[in-house]
Amino acid sequence: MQQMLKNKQIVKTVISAQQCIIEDYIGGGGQGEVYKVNLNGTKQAVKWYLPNTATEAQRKNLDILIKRGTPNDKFLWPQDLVTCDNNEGYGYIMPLRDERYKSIIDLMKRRIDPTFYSLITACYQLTDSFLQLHSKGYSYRDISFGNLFFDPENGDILICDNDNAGYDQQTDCGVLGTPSFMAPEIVRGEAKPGASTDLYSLAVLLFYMLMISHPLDGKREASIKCLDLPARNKLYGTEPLFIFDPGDDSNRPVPGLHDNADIYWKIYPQEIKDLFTKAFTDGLKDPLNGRVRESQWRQSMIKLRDSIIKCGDCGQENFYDPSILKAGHEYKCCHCKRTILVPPKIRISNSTIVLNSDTKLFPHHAENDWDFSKTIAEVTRHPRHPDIWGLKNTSDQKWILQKPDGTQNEVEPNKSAGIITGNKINFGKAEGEILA
Amino acid sequence: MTDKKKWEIAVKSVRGNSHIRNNLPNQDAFLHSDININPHTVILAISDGHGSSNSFRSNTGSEIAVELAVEFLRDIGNITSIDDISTVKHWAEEKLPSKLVKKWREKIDEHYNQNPVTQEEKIKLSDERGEGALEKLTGNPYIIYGATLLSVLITEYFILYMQLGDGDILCVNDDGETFRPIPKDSRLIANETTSLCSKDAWKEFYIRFQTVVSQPPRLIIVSTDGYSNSYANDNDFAKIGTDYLEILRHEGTNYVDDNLEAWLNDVSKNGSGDDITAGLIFNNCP
Repeated sequence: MQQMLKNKQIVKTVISAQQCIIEDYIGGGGQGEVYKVNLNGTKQAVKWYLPNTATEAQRKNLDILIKRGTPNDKFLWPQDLVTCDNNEGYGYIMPLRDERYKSIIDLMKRRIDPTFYSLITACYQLTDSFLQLHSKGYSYRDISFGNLFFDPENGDILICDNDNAGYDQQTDCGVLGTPSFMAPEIVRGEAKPGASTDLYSLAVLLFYMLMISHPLDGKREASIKCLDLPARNKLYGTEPLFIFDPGDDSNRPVPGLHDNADIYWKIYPQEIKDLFTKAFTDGLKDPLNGRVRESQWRQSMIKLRDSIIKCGDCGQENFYDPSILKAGHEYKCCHCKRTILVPPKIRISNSTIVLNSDTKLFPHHAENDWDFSKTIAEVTRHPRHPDIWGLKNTSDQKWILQKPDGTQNEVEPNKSAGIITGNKINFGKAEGEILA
Repeated sequence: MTDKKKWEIAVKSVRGNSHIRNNLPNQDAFLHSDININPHTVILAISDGHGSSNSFRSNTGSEIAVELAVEFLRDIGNITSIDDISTVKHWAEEKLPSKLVKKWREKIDEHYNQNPVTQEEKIKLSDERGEGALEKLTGNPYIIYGATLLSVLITEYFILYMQLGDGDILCVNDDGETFRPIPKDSRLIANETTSLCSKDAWKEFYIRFQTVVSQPPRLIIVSTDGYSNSYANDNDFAKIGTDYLEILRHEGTNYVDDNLEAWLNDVSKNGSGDDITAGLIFNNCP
């Protein structure tokens, strides 16, 4: 393959002064090429810039990113600059992405089929990572689905192409973003990328992951026959319109082209749809106040994940949506269409968590602790009476269980409280009540 | 050769012996851009109609496929700013397959409605597939026109390779190194192929986008599977890369263009017996 760097070529890291051997070409795009390299026996990745993108501004930006470090472990962050004796220009070295991580394109093309649980976990991690990124003074500036990878088994994410991130608006590496992910005001040339435009791009990416469709690609996009840049600028910049805009149906999804949008929009609960509607109505017009913030998305993703119900007949994941019952409808499985028996739920503060057979409660359900490496409770079956389900205490603190008749018990770690309507469990920092 | 152009192209298509014997037309089709107009931008599209008894109009399907491919790729090729190549890459990966398939299906619908299945076609289909064979196809009439599609778009800034179904794209560097920009699809064995008529065909496309940094490949060969199926294995087939490169260097593109049809006929006759279409895009700059 025609490559800027050849296999077995040596590049050198600038700060740590180590040698890397180019092993294989991984891929390339409009900015540069990415290679697998060997750095003292460990596999890493190097991105090498095209001549027209290896600018002084980009290099200065990289210096800042390398010096300040990654927001969290979800970012494949630049670790050092690399140069080459035989080649002008430069690149940077970063951790290598493991093969278990797949792209959104793999999701679109159905090469992977993650559960909703995994997908929403990935969405949660994405929003949390953006919160970390912004809280440390960075903005991403070039989010698109080429930059996000996730493990379909468990939802763990990796965010790539972080070389265009900016710190505190001090640097301008010249990147505006990917048009269909860029905030309308950037497409129109009225603004530069930053944290508030990141919020728009984040909303687009979340919509893509959950609906496997772009929020502005409906009838208007279908009428663009080919790669027509002025038409695309109109679609994403001067006249953007949400495909499910409640006040204007002129850009609805087109059957045969945008089927995913129609299919998935019907599946999700009203609350998340309302948030997307806000993101792509107010959020289109009001960059400062109209966009959904990272913390709101994060909370919504957790709530969405907690609302998953598994169909007892076919096992398909569905979502608990109180508005369905309020409207007098039955819960029908989105796959087999049979009526779903909604399992008991537990309400803890403002959260309602459906208690499926495999539900786990995490520390954040009871307090402001977002550690997902441990659980505080897990749904479990009685060992001798399989019809009886309980909530096992997997924390290191005892609970206080209050039954509907007022009696109280202690539930030691590794013991269970019965999942019985009306039972109240005091977890220490919060109390939960079992609901029918 | 009068002008020293950047790219030169030689493309030929031959009817396979098996189709000659069965009185079937060549099911392959090809189309390329006119490099006399723009020698720095080249588009080549090749399509292989399935030719099975169910796909009795696949020669029409393949013709429509290459026309549409060139039409879409011409619009991409008109992008002249290096700042837009990221946009091109994203659009090609995300949108091009679905739009192309949709347009192909619209054209097929048009052709099918204007040209209902003839009595002769019905009888032939029944003879080969049994009574009721046509009715079975009403769920997916695109099968009648089913075809693969391979294409290459070369501009000053990038090369875009696209493939749906079987067939081969080979690139040859100056030093003779031959590689596939799109790896072989391991699912395509024993004459099974993905196709424009497949359900969700857009998902089956492979797209490879390569930015041109210094020297693009010296030679790109695009061919239908009748060519590679005439060789014992992939390694033997891949040798045609260096073979053609040598001939082109020593004899020039006109010589290849004059002889390609005869060579492909020999390959088909002694090999797969299938239609073969092969296009060679040669970079003649020093």
